Amino acid sequence: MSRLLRLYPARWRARYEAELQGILADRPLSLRDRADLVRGAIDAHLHPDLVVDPSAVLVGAGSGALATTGSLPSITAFATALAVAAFSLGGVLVLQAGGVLWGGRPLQHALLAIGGIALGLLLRRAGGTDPFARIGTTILLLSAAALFVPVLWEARLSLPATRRGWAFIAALTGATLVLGAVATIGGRGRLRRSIAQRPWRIARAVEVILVGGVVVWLLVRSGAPNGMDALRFADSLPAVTTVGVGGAIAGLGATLSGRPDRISGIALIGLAIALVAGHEAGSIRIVAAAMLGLALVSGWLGRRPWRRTDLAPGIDRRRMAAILAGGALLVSAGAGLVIATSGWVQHDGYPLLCEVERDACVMAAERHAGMVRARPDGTVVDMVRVARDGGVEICWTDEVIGRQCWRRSGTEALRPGRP
Amino acid sequence: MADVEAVSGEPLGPGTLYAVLARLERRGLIEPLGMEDRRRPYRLTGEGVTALRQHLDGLERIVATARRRLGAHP
Repeated sequence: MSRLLRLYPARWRARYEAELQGILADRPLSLRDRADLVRGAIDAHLHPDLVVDPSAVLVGAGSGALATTGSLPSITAFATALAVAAFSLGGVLVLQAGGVLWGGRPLQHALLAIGGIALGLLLRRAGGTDPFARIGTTILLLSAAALFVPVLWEARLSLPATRRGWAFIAALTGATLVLGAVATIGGRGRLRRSIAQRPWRIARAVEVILVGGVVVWLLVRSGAPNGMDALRFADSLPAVTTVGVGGAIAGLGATLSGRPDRISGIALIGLAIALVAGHEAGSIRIVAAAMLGLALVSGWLGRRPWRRTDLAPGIDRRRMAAILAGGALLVSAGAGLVIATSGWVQHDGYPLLCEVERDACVMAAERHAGMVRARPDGTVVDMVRVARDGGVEICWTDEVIGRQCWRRSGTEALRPGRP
Repeated sequence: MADVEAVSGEPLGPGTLYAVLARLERRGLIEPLGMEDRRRPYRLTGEGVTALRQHLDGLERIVATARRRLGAHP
């Protein structure tokens, strides 16, 4: 029996193995049952999105932060890169805290909190007196410490799971805003002086924009009505796409600067983690693969003797790299903000979610529309759009009737429309 | 599994059961409760109740239509 259960993905086993063993222990296992378990294991491998470990959030964003950490030192101060990593990890820990109340594992999150505090202290020591690094590590430490609150709360709270999550998000958002305001006011003067005194001001300013973009995006996602889905998919857009892709492109820029020594190894490790972490969405694997490819190209280019075969004579390569990296990060963060604030967005501001997880998208659209259609098996809803004003459009192809679309805008009732 | 088999008359394997449970949980239609003696009970969420009611309504309409049409063709 246990051998058969080992056929299931590790993530699936972590969630269901104990209770399934409890059921199997009460009855003799027939040949049909064994075949059914094998079929179930294949199904679990084919649908890894069915079981999402909140740790994927940490792994995804952590790898993005690693990539950023690995790429930025070549073009900016090391302490600044540490600060960006600390900001990223701090934001992810905040989401992890929410995950505890949506069925997470308190012990696991308590360990994460301890790890976050240890990492925060380490980064704080490495960052020295750099004010930006101190702000970043402060956020990380506070976020890690905040993880203990839901762990304790989970043990005492009797609210239904959904309300617990909402209550926590509300409290956390308020606390984050207050802490962010305090940190900003406290570090404003020193940060301004630091930016003015150091070189590569463009890259530094863009990093601030990047961090702001990530924070805003995280808040937009976690504040959405379907916050549970936001947590489940939090490893994709803000962490990997925004930070990771930006970091990988920045790494490429750093390579062009002629100082590739520190980027490729760390970036490669981070991106490999992102690739093998088992993100539930195929498109995320593609993104991760693209990032890995970028890092490999970056690493390969980094081996070339750029200084001797100067391909861009007469150009300040470091300045060029800073502008390139800064532009990439700006585009990355800006694109996220534009999409998140656009009028017609899919799935409450998660534009890629319909491509990533169609069922979740459909469910969200149906919730908004106040409609849950009893679709026959095999019916595929292939297009769903949700507008911020509550409008919704759903299209699917019915085996009998053919293609259908239902639309409504604002508070209108859902009605048939033209495909 | 025995309960499902008794009601439906069809055997339900453990792999199928947990494939279904994972999907229902993933869609927010059921939620797990605490472990009780190596068993984990589940309960319907509010959304699950709504979905089940609407699904049953749809089935009832289908059954009613089928019975009506069957009655028209003795």
